[in-house]
Amino acid sequence: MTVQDSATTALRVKELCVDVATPEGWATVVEDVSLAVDVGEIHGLVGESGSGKSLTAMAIMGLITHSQSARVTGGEVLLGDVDLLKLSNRDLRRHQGKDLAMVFQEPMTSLNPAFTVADQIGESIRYHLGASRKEARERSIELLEEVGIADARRRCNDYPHQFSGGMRQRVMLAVALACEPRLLIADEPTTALDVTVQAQMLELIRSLVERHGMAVIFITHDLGVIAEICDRTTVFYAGQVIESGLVGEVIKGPRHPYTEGLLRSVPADDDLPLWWIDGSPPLPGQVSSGCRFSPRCEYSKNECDTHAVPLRLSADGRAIRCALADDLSLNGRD
Amino acid sequence: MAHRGNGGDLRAGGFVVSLIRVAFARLLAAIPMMILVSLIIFSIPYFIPGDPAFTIAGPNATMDDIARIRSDLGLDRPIPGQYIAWLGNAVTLDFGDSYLVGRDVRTMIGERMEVMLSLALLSTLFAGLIGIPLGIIAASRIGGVRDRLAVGSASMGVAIPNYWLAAILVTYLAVEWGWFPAAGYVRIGDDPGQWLWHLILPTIALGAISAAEVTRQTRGMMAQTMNLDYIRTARMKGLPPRIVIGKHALKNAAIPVITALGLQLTIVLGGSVIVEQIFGMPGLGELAITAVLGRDIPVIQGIVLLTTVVAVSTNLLVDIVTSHLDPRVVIS
Ligand SMILES: Nc1ncnc2c1ncn2[C@@H]1O[C@H](COP(=O)(O)OP(=O)(O)OP(=O)(O)O)[C@@H](O)[C@H]1O
Ligand SMILES: [Mg+2]
Repeated sequence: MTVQDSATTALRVKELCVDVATPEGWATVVEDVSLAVDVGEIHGLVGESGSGKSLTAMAIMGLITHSQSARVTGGEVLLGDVDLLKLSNRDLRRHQGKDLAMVFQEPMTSLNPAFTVADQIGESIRYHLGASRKEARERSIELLEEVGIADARRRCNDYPHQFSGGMRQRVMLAVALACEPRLLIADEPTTALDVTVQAQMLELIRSLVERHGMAVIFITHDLGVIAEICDRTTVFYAGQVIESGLVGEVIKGPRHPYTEGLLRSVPADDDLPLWWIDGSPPLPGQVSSGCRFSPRCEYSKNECDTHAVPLRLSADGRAIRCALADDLSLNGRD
Repeated sequence: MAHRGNGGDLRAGGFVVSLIRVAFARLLAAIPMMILVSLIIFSIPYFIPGDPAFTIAGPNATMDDIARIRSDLGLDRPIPGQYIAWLGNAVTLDFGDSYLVGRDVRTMIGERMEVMLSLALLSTLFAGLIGIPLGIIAASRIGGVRDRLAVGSASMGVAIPNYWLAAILVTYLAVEWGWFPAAGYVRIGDDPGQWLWHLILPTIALGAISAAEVTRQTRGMMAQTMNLDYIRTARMKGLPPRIVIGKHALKNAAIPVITALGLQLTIVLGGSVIVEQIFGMPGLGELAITAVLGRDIPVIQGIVLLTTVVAVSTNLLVDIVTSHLDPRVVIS
């Protein structure tokens, strides 16, 4: 895909497709998604609600096999040289929680209410690294300290309900970091939290990446957050990648009208009126054959609706899915 | 090592303290209920048609005989006084002598209680040992072959009456093939092996419906639990099914399952009357039937109190166990 040295690429996703069950049958909601994440890079996935970000993450994490209402229908998920999608459940488990781990969108419900946080953090350390109960406990305390839980030695015996939402998300981060994974997926880790807690959480993730040098996939629907902590970004629309590139370049010079719209709807410091994109994305299973954004696009022309638009790669590592990209000059933000 | 031991002791100490606290609170809460139950038990004679004094005195008694019996039994005193006196005796489990055989009710019930308790506990154990694993297996792949088998046999199990199953088991496994004794009971103190041997068929007959019910409960709870977010977290950690299901799902699904088991125990208490009769076991069922037919009020009262106490203590035990499975309950 992009021009990247495979030695520094932690994760490479190729042409991933995921279907979900709808009343009308299976519908493709993640289509031909490709990504590459380097070691030490924070890669932001951004897009409206329902655009397929979480399903992409679940597919990478190998969590879709257990769902009856979703299935991976094609593609590769290469962690190093291993295609995770080709592994048996048993072999996949050797990587899950150890080489790649995930923080979920729902901090309140992602921890088991019946076990202490030390137990839940230490579990994968004991299982994957064969640590003793005591070693796992000590390591859990270190991890709790690292994610900023005060008085960790005492708090580690507490149960999840004794922590606030923001604190639970920190605990969840400790769970994910337990075995020092090469890839961390953070699915809107801050969306459910209030603004000050959000900022602390972002700062924490950034400092952890610097310290551990892992690769991160960071999911959000907020381009402002992307601008703040990501190196590279991939923009989703209705299950497809519509633009990707270095964060600075995408933000300064978007090349897809949807990206431009997203940028315009990020609240600015000055008193410019708030902007939003009219209309709503197509529902799963109801996508047209042409450009999926065309019905909402102010630049749309007839040719946009006639045939599928391929994702085109440009020499500078950008990827754009827009038939008019070369003719448009779009506005970015500074 | 020392540190871990310490933590363990602390937790064990906390466990005992909160155990006592929960038990005490539940006992206090049970007091109004127990008073109500005692009133009901006390008023049993007033609900049963016919005068016990007539029954005891027999067909040839004179009015004097009957009056004497009435005053012996205290039936001529004012009702509140009777109740207080009766309650005083009842708390020491003293219900007086049987009207019919003249023996101490406490001894009569004591002799037969073992059968009922053995049967009730074994049937509930059977229901748990069959129902919980079956429910877990069924829920591990909803809609799969094993799930459909388990659901099918569970709906069949619920539909089969226990006396019918008992008759089938006796006819084939005992009489026809002679694998098990067809009737009788051996005290556990006399010969534990024979005790168990004699109880196997009655236990299956009595426990089958409960096993089916527990299977359905377990399956339903596990199926719900397996869709929860924290199960996804456990899978994300790469833990094997034995930990994801056996640890993460089971502990949360356990509360309703244990509640269901407790309920089954009280249901089985009632069902044991019929099964005891079919297997010719000298249990409380037989005693209860003769007592009711003969208006033997002290015996009836003793049996009702005993079953109430068993039911209440079962619920208490269930409460204590479940409150310890859910850390949120202990804190609040
Ligand atoms: N397990 C599932 N079964 C059926 N449909 C699903 C399932 N998971 C997701 N979907 C559907 O797939 C589409 C993509 O969902 P996804 O959760 O990936 O969106 P998202 O980009 O993460 O959105 P959000 O920002 O709201 O989290 C949605 O239309 C959703 O309803
Ligand atoms: Mg999502």
